[in-house]
Amino acid sequence: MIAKAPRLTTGLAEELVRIVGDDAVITDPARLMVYESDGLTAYRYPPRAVVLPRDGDETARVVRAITAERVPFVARGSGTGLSGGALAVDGAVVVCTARMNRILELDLHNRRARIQPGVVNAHLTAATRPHGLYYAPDPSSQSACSVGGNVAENSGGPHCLKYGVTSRYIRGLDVVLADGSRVYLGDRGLDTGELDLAGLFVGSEGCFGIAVEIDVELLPLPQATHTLLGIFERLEDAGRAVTAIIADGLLPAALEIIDQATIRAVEESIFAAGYPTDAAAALVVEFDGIEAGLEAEAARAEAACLECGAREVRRATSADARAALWKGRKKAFGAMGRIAPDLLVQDATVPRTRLPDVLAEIAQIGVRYDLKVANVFHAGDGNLHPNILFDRRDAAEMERVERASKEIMRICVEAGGTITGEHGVGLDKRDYMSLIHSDDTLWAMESVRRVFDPAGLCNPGKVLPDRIRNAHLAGVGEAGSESARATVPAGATA
Amino acid sequence: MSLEALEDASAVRDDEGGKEPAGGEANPGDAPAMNGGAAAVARATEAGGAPVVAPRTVGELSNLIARASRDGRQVRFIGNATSLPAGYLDRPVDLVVSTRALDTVHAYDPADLTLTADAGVSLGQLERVTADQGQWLPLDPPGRARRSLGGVLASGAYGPLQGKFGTPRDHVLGLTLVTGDGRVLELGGRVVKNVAGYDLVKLAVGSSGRLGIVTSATVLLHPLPVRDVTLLYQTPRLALAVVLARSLATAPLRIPALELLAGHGEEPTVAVRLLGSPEAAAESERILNARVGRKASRRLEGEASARWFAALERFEDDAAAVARVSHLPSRLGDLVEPAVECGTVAAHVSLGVLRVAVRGPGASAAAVFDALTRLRDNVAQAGATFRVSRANIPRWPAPEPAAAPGVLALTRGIVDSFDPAGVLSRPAS
Repeated sequence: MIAKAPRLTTGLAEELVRIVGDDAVITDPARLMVYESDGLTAYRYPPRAVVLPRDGDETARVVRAITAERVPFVARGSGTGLSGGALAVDGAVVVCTARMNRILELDLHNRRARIQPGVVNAHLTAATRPHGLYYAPDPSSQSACSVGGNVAENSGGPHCLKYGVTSRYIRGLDVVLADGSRVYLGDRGLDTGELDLAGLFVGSEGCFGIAVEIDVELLPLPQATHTLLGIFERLEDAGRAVTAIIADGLLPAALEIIDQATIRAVEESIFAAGYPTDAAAALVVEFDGIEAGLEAEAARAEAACLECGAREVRRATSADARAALWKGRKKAFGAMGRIAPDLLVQDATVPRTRLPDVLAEIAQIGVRYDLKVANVFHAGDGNLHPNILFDRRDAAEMERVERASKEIMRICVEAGGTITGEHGVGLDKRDYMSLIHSDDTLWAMESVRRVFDPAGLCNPGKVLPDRIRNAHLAGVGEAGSESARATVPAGATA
Repeated sequence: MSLEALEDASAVRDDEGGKEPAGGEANPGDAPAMNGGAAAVARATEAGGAPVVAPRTVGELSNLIARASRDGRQVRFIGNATSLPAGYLDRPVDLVVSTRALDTVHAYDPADLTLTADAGVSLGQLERVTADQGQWLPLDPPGRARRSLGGVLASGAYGPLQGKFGTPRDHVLGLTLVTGDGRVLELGGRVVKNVAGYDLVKLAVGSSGRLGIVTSATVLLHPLPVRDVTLLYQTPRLALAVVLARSLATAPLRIPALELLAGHGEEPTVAVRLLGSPEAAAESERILNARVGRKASRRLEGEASARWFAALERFEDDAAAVARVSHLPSRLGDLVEPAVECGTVAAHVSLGVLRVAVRGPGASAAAVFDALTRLRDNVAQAGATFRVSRANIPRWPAPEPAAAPGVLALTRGIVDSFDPAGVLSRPAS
C-alpha cells in the first residue's frame, strides 16, 4: 500500500532548514523513498519530509516547529523495526536520529553510559568492551539497529532469557515531547518515590516523544562462554529439551531453535553453517559467566538434549567455534531472502511449555494456506518468530499471508501468550490488540499517551486501534469520564 | 450511598484489624507501631474512624471503589500494613480497603517459572509454595516474609538481591489493577516477553496506590541456587570499608548482593552474597578476595548465609524513621560519613542507595526530626536525592525534594486519568 504525502508549507520548510541546515532536511520525493518503509516492507508511506537533527536541542526545536503547524511527526532510528512503527502515516514528518550517533559519556566507575539515540547497538558494546563492559540487550539486528529504536520497542534478543530486555538497562531518558519541551525521566538511583516514567516510556513505540539522550547501564563481560548445538530429528524433541534444561534448574544465557525450513534456507545460501539439512531442528544453548562451573552446566544441558532425542550435540568454547555454531541462527533471516522476495517476520510469545503444541498448529496453518513458514525462535522465552515467505506482487498470496498471520496470533493468544514479544505493535498489529486487551485497558493506554501528547501528533496511527483514538477524540475535555468512555463500541474491531 | 451501605454491599468488615496472615512469620521482639499488622491497621483507622473493608473478590472491590469515586469518598489501600510509607496515614479518609481477603495462589507452573497470586498473599507464603519445586522469587524487601505481594508491588520495595535480580518491576509479568474509579485493568500477561502496548505494568509498580490497587500479579520465578555463600569483610575504619566495598563493586563479575553496614554496633561490614553453582561461587570468592587482597572476616554457607541476609531484612524493623539517600554508586564515600552521624546505615553498594535508620523506640519525635533534617542537609551538599520512606513520628513536615516541573505535570496527568475523582490517598509530600 502506497499513500501520498502532503507537502511541507514553505514556512515550515524554511524554519527546519534554519534549525538543522539544508543538508539535513530532505524533501525531494526520490530521496524520500528511502524512508517510506521500515523493516515491515509490505507497507509504504512516503513522509512529508525527513529531518536529521544532530542533538537534543535541535530535535526540540524541530519538533516544536513541526507541531506548531499541527503536522504529525514520527521518530526513526535505523529503520530496522519489524512492525511498521516508523512508517510516516497521516503525512508525518520523519525525525531521523541517524546523525545523533555519539556516545556522550562513558562512566566506567558506575558502569553507565550516556548516549545519543542514534548510536548503533553493537557500536555501544564495541566501545565499552575494551573496558571489560558491554551493553546486554542484543536484538538480532544489533549491527544496524539504534539504541533509541531499542528504547522505543523495548527490544529483546537471544540473550534476554538470562539478562532481560531493554527496559532493564535504561536508567534515565532525556525526552523531547510533542510540544518541543524537554523532560528527564528516571533518575540516578531508583529511589525517588516517583512514578516509573522511564519504564513507561521504554516500549512506547515513539508515541510519547523522542528520547534524545539515553542513560544506559552496562554489565561486566562474562568471563567465559560455552555454546552447544543440539541436532534433533523432531522439532518437538528440541522443544522438550528446552523444558528439560529449565527443569534441571539451569539458566542458560540463550536457548534458540531453528527449524528444518530455516536450516535448509541457511545451508543453501552463502551463509552455510554446516547444520545437517535432514535435521528437523537445531537448538543453540549458551552458558556464560564465571568459567568454573560452566563446563558442568554445559554437560548437564548436553545430557538433557540427548535424553530428549538429540542425535548429536556439538560443543564449542573458543570464539571461532562458537561463532560457527551460532552462524545458522544469526544468518537465518538473511538466508531467507533468496527463497522468496518477501518475508513477514512474525513475533508472538507463548508460555514455554506450550511451544510444542503451538509449533505443530503453526505448521498446520502453513499447510492450510499453502504458505512456506520457517521458524526461528527464542525458545527459552517462548518467543516465536514464524517467518512467512511470500511474494507481495501476488495479491492472492498476500491475502493468505494476512489470514494465516491472524490465525497464528489467535492460537498464540489462546495458548496463554501474547501478540508480540519484542517487535512491537506498530501499524501491523493494532487490530490484534483487542485479542488480549479489554477496551478499558486500551482506553487507559490511550489516556496515558494523551498525557504525553495531548494533540496526538507524535507517531499517530500506531499501537492502538483507530476506534480507541477516535473515541478519545470524541471525549476530549472529559478524558476518563463515563460519557467519553461510553463511546467506545464494545468488542468492535477497527 | 451511605458508608454503611457501601460496606454491606460488598465486603467483609475487618473487625480483627491486623490479624496476621496465615503462616506469616512472627516478628522478633515487640512489634513497633509502624511494623505490627494490628497496630498499623489500628493507626490506619484511627484518623476519623474510617472502616477497614476487605473485599473477597475483585468484583466486590471494583464496585466498592467505583461507588467511592462516584460519591467522592476518600480511600486508602493497605496490604498487610507492615510497611506503610511515611505520611501515608496523615490524611483522613472515609474508607480503608485491605487486600487481606484476597489470599489465593491461582496458578503455579513450575515448568514455565511463573506464578499468579492474589495481592494479599505474603512473600513468606509464596516462598513456601515455590521452595517445594526448587524455585524462588528473588526479591527481598525490608520485612519480606510478612509483606503482601500487592504491597511490595505498590511500593516497589526491594532489597540487596536487586544487584542481580532487579526490583519488583523486573519480576512482574502482569498484574490486575483496579483504578481509582473502579475499572479493572488486566495489564501485561503471563509470558516473559511481552511488548503488546504501552507498559502500564511499569507504571503501576511503585505507584504507591496513586493509580489504583493491585489485586493480583503474575511473577517470574528463578531456580533456587545450588550454593549460597555470604562473605563478610570487616574493618575498623569506615573509610576503608568504603574503599573495599567500591573495589568489590567494580570487580569483573555480577555480584547478586553487595551491602555496606555501618553504625550498627559492630565494625563497618561489607557483605557479599554469592549464588550459583558450587564451582562458580568458589571462583567468585577467589576473584573477590584477590581483588581486595584479603580473605573475608567471616564466611557463611547455605542456611547460615540465607539467615544472615534474612536478618538484614529486619534492618528497618525497630527504626523510628528510615531515610533513603541515593546518588551515583561511585559517590558512596561522600554519603556514608554524614549518614552514620544520623543513624544506622545499610547501603546497596552497586546501586548507590543508602538506607539510614534512625533508631530507638525511645527516640523523641523532636530527636527523629532533628536527625532527618541534619541528614537531608548534609547529603544535599553532595548532590544526592533524599527521601524519608518511613517515619513513625506523626508527620514529617519538611518538604520533599520536588520533581522537575515536567515530571510533575506528567505525573499529575497520569494520576488524574486513573483516579479522575481524586479519591485515592497518596503519601503526603
